[in-house]
Amino acid sequence: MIKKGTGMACMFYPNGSTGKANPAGAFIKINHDGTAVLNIGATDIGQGSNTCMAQIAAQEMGLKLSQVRVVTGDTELTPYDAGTGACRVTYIAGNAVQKTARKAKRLLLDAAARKMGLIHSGQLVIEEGEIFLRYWPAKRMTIAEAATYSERILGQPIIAVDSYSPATMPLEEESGQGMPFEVSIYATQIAEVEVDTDTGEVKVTKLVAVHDCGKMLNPMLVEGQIEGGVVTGIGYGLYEQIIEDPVEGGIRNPSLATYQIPTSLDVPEDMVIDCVEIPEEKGPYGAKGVSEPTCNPTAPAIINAIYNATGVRIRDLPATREKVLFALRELERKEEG
Amino acid sequence: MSEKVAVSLKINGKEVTLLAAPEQNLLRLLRENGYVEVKCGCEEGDCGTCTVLLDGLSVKSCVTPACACEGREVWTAAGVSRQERIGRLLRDNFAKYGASQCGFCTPGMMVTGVNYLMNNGVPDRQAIRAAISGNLCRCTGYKKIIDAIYHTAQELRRETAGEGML
Amino acid sequence: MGYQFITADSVPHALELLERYGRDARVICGGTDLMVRLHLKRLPECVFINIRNLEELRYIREEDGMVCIGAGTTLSTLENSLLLLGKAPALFQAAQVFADPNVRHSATVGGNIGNASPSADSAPPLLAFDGQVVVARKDGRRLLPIREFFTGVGRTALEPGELVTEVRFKPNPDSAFVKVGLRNAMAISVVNIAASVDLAQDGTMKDVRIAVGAVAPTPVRAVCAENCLRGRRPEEAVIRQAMDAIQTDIKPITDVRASERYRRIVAENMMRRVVLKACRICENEGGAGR
Repeated sequence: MIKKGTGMACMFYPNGSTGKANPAGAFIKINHDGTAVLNIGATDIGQGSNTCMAQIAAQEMGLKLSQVRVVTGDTELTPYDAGTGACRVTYIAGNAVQKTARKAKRLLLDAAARKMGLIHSGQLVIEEGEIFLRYWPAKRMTIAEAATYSERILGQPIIAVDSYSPATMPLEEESGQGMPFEVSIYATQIAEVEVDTDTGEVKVTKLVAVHDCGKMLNPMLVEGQIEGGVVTGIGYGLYEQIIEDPVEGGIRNPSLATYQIPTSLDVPEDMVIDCVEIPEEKGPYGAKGVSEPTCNPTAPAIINAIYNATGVRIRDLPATREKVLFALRELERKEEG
Repeated sequence: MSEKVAVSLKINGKEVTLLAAPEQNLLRLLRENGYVEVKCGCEEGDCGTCTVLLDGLSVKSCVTPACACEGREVWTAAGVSRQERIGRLLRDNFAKYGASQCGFCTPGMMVTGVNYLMNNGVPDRQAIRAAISGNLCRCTGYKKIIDAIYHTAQELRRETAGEGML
Repeated sequence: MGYQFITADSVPHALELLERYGRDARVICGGTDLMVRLHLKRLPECVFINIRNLEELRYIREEDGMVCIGAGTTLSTLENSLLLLGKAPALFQAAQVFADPNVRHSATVGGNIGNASPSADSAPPLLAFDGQVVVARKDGRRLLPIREFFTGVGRTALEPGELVTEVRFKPNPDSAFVKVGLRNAMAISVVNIAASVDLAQDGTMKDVRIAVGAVAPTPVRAVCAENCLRGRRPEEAVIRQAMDAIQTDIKPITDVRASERYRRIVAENMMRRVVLKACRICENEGGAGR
């Protein structure tokens, strides 16, 4: 028999390591052809942070995205970064990039002001590779010209360095008080399942995930990260387990044939992803992280849906077909007698 | 390793003769000879990232004996993605719809996607989902990959329909 | 000596090679099983006799009411065969859920049964159709009932020098297949089961054959369950009896995929499902084997 049910789970999750310094560093140089090189310690592991960091730098310095080259993933060349984890790259490395880009921009504008004969650069605007006076836009020059002038005439190449580490306080051991994180993100997911009571198979037929990540810097990447997280969460909730051999030691399923992650036929066709955009004032352009905890509410939502469908409460993950079937039998036995 | 033998085959449209050991798989043969766009994942026929077209069919090159490819035609992800019109369009749509995140599964997904489009090209999400079920993806959640193949199928279909009207 | 790889250019050539190399020879076609074993270093040195080029082993045809399938026919050919869809849905359905589409492009029927895995998905339908295996050797050929073909885990009744060239069976449109794995693609069966039912006008099952895999050292016929069903209608009480009876037909073990107890319960439940599906009484859309 097929039984249907719906379950929900909510979460909050911090950006950054708990109650300790976890900085991100950035270098930027603007070349005399008007392109820039952004050198960051944060590593892109497929979530698209290189794109995102380049977006922040380009936006801040008034360059086109294609004019910013990102150097990353080589500790010999890049500044320190506490790592891609703890959902910290967009928020912490993003802030470092924004701060650094702001410094580079200041140098550029100062050079442009000198070249234009201005005493103060406050009315200069930088956009799409050009610098101009806000209320007299005809008075303009390119970033390339400003960078060249700064480098060749003023003797000041456009280079900037900065870093960011969230303000935290270690937790006091006795009371647990302190300020472990600067910002947190929030999400709710709802799963709809069908439980096959003959096999214990749980099919997730629909999943709705609504997340908070402040302002979305790159909606497609945010969506992709949530979709991927949800599917990882389905694996966590229903399929993936490391089976140890209690006698011989070692792992009994050390391959993709036996350690099963979801295939395209194990994920819901109906996946609704949305974000509530409330800009975070401390984040770069209002952004916070999103990726890491996207898988967190999925498994509990599924487990709640199984309970809703069958009355069976699974208390250890994953809810394999075997576990669900045995729990159903157990419940039947209890109800009968 | 046992003594190697010469295997002549056509890779991405070019005739080549390579040396293969009797127990070697096609994946290793390709990578050893510079076709490193064919990625090695699990080498046990599970993950699907090493998928290539062998005589027009998508197969997992890690479980294909190299010596059995004598006289056959192989297309890799790099080969197909340069081909007008299916390959290029699908490649562009992978970029457009964000179908590649970490990229581990992408070469296999490209080849499997091309194979799907070659064979019927119906813009049907369930059929596409089934077609890529031998290719594991850990980070996209499959949705954007299905989107890319779906929209390519739709574009190709629209073009065919357009031709019909002429 | 190392491995050797020889490509046969005809069936007689393959048979000659098989005779020449005897126990050292190992037939390879799709390679989807053997290449994994090679990679895991679980395949001793041998001479591969490659039959992938033998087009004469790739066919599905009907002869005198029998469906004949060449040993080199791929699973993807089976899942696209209208003949099987209409006349042997059990095998058609098994092909559809076999491994994954890319493996099905390579894997062959001959390889799947020759490999003799207890969980081979093509075995239960062939057993339920009471099929035969055509075995060739240099000096002739023999017909082996598929019931006698599997002798143990990874073991068959084939002698050195012999080659499976065809499987054949009398098809039955009132047949079905159900598979339960741990996920919906690329899954090794935890239980797979096929049924073929001869229905009388009044709805009684004149004859019924059920075969089940992954619950014993070889795929097996569920004779006790069949006896409960034969001559009766597929009604709840009858099926209940057969569900109890199938427990004596099977001898599952606990392994990394599932426990013995799980396999026993699922074998029972899937027997009900596959019989009803074969009788075209679909009480349950959407579960395993959909």
